[in-house]
Amino acid sequence: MTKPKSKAEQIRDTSKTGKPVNIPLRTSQKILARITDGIYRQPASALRELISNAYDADARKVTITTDAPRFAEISVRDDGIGISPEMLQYLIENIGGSAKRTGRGEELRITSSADKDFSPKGRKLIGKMGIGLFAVAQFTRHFLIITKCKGEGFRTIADVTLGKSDDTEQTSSDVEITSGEARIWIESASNINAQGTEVKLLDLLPRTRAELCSLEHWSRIDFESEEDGKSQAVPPVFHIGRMDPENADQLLEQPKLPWDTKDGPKMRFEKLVTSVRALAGTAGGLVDLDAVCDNYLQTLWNLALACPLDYMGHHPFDIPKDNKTLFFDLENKTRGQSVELKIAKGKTAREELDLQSPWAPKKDKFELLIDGTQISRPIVFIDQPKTVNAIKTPLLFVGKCREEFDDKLPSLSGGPLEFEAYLFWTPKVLPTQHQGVMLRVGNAAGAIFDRTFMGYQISEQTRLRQITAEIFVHEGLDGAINLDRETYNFAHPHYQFLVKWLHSALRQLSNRNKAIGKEIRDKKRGDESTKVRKRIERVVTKKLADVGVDDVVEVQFIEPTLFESVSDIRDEGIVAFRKDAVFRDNSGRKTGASKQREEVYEQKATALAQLLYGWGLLDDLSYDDQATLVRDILEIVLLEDGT
Amino acid sequence: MTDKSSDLSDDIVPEAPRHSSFDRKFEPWHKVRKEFVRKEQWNKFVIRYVKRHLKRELQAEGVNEWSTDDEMLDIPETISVAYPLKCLVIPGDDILDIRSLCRDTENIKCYIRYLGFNEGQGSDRVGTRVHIAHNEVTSHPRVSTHSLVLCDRFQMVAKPNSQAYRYMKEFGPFHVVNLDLCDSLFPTTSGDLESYYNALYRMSAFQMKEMATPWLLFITTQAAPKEVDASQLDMLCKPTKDNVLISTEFAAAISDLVPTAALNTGTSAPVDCSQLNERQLIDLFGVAIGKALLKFCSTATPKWKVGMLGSHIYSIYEPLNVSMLSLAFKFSPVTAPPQDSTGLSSIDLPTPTSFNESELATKLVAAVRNISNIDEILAADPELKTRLTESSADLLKSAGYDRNVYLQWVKDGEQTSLG
Repeated sequence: MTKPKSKAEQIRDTSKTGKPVNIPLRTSQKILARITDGIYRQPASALRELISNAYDADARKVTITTDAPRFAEISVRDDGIGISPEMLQYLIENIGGSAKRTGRGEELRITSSADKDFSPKGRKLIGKMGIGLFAVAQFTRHFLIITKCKGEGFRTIADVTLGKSDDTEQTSSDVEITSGEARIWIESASNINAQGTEVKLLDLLPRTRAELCSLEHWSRIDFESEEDGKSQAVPPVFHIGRMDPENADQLLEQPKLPWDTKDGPKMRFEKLVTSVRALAGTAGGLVDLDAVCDNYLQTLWNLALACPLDYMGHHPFDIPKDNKTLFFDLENKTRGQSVELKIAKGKTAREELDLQSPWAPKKDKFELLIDGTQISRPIVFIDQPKTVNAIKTPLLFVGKCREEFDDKLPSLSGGPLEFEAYLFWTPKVLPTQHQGVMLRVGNAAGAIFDRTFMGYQISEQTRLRQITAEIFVHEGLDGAINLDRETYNFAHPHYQFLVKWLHSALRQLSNRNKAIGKEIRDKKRGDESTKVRKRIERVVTKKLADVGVDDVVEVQFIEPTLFESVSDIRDEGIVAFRKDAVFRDNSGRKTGASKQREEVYEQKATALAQLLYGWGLLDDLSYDDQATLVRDILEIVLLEDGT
Repeated sequence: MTDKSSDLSDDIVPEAPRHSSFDRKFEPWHKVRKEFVRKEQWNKFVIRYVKRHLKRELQAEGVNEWSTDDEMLDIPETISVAYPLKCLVIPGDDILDIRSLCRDTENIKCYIRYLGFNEGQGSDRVGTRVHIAHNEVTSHPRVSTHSLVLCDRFQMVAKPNSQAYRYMKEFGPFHVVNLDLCDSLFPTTSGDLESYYNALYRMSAFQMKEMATPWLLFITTQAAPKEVDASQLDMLCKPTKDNVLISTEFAAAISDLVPTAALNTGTSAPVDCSQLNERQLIDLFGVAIGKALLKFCSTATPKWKVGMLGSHIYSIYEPLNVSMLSLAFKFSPVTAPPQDSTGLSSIDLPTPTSFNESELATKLVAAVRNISNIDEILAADPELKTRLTESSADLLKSAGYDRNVYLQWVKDGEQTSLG
């Protein structure tokens, strides 16, 4: 008796039979409920899942094409290893049961033979849940997968429809249900060497289209304009335009983009980032991305932040020393102290501390183009905007840590945790959406920046708004990531460890920031005090010279606690007074400002004594009377200042 | 409970998704004569164009107005052109025009980027075919993945606030524009659609504004009397009629093609189509389109000139005997070096040739006279027909059709559902 053919074999046979193979999508009800009922908050999140799949498939380039601003269809295409009929069958029959982290990953040739946590070319895998592909349920109930593996003479096409069915099957732990159907067939391919996967999202759901084309915002403008003649809401500074709701072929609003159609793909995104940051000059100092970009551009921006891409400029670990940034090494202790890194010119923090992030294979390349715009991480570390803050230079705190949890059971600790991180302090974080900390696991992030800094309770709101931080997790934390890959299991030891480490790092940053600020302010005061002193000296010298006195005496005010007496110092030809005889008792705690004020009084008292001596008016008075006279005149003079 | 007239539930519950079927059937554009058009007209002239204008070595020292595209498209060194051949097309469901262009430009290593208009695209059967075809075609190493098939009618280009126009601006200007229409440029039934002619006009204006180098225009249109709107044809013929009045050479040339009396030149009477046989009508149609394009060019600043390249006619729907006219034009900017009027300069620069619209129009008439009938060519050359049948079969195989079934279909007389 011949063995019945597997579904994958039947798919391969479709070129002969001419009949597609229908495979029901089967998944657990729990998983399906979470996927189809919107675990992702934004369209960018669902797109991010498809991009992560492409990354895990060793793609070098992902091209997303939309028909913006209509948004009827979206194509996400990569040049990765493609999906074999066997893998496709597995995927469809096991939603939520990724083969990537199991022995089947290697068997299906989607993971490295050496380590199941890595792709065949050595990338640390991002996905693990096996739901990435079906994140598209956020967009549509109908999509095509067109995929091809290198060396195969055919491409495989799956026409997938999603929809709940009554066909349920009770398993031991959960109810498994049919959640849709895939119709799969193969077609001959003329380019044998081609490889990659395209997911073509058809008939986008109305709410997704509305979200992508910022319908809510435009509708508000329309409504208010109709009601009041003028809308309080204004169009975003930059947007992709909008279709005319009454005419599907036409645009009601032409795109307003910061780039020109002739600009290359990299230039386009650079212009977007530069233009958004430049708005700081006109928007009250800070820039809120929500207010200046429509949802489409924000989607680009958020994908640029989340995906495993290069930074637009330097990686934070590669900022050259000759740039005006101060570097600090973070200590891995609860009450740690940062140490300033003395980096030689031309060297970087990476070289100094042997930092490895993003741990990608050598010469790895991963590009993401969306409608002809090549996006890259829009976090900018150099050329910060002008500031009135005392500290003009950015501060970059870097750290690395490996915690083995040696004395704990791996099943309880989650095993080793290894990461590198930076905290970048700058007076203005642009846009405000970059305030906070972002966790990257396998070079990809789920959520955008967490402005609470993982629940940092210390009230330092101003300083926290000046920090952008990223933690690059190399090993561990996988077990703490929730299904949506945007939230974490807070109770997981790895997460708890990161919280403690980050909060310590924040304290180190805060202390260092305060110390530097104080130093700068003190120096500034010192400089101002010197200026005043010199001016007084010039006046005294000139006034005495006018009356024929060339020799200006040296005057000193002596602390009462000083071992030497006033007479001892006078014996050296210096006119000396006890401080407490001339000035009020100010022995209490002095602020920087009061200290500076005191210095000015002392300089004025010095000048006064020098003038009186020059005129010879003190010659016949006792030391105490001299002090009293200087004190009284000084009091009268300072009264004018309101003191 | 909301009443049935409530619109609260609009746009919330999507339509139940349906799978698309994937059966194929042969259409008129699968016939061997269309392969002749692809190979012997479109691709032949494109190859010539690429060799003359886009070869990498020729561009090495020139000003590259689209230099950013190089960076954008990451053209491999193995490609012989300096920047991509940008094409605007109206592709069928299998994108056969680009497939064949890709095949025929193998030797010149040409890199192709295209923008297509296919309103049939979507989630239905036709849409699925277009998606699969687009994926297949852009998998070729010489075709840019930044190509796009837009779900819009080409006619919408006529409107400057349309999605179609926006994308034309985004992807253009183009080296090649191939308007392979299924019906007539002046259809008798166009409903409330924008006209092809308006779109042609808008596109040409865009091209002439944005291009600095020559470009090609192919127009395939029905030319049978029944398929062409008579009043529009008459308007199209106006520049031709005017030219007859001002140029004796042109008048003489055109009188060899059509009875001059039928043109009613110098009067307000329309062209009398009843005096024209089918070939004469086709010739007049060809001259009139060419002359109208020439008029566009002469009124533009800077000026352009247009010349007709080898063009053809063929029949479709045999029992109905509908003629298709496949026209090819080359647009070139009119450039001239500065002239020293003082006589002080000893440099001898070539004297500019004057732009003479009537002279160009006369050449146009000569080109129309040479329009050849593909059906006759194929009937007279069985070897050519066999060769084209084979290449057409290969082309369709690459689009997922059964090669043997196709060969049998050709053998059986290329019957389609429409005849």
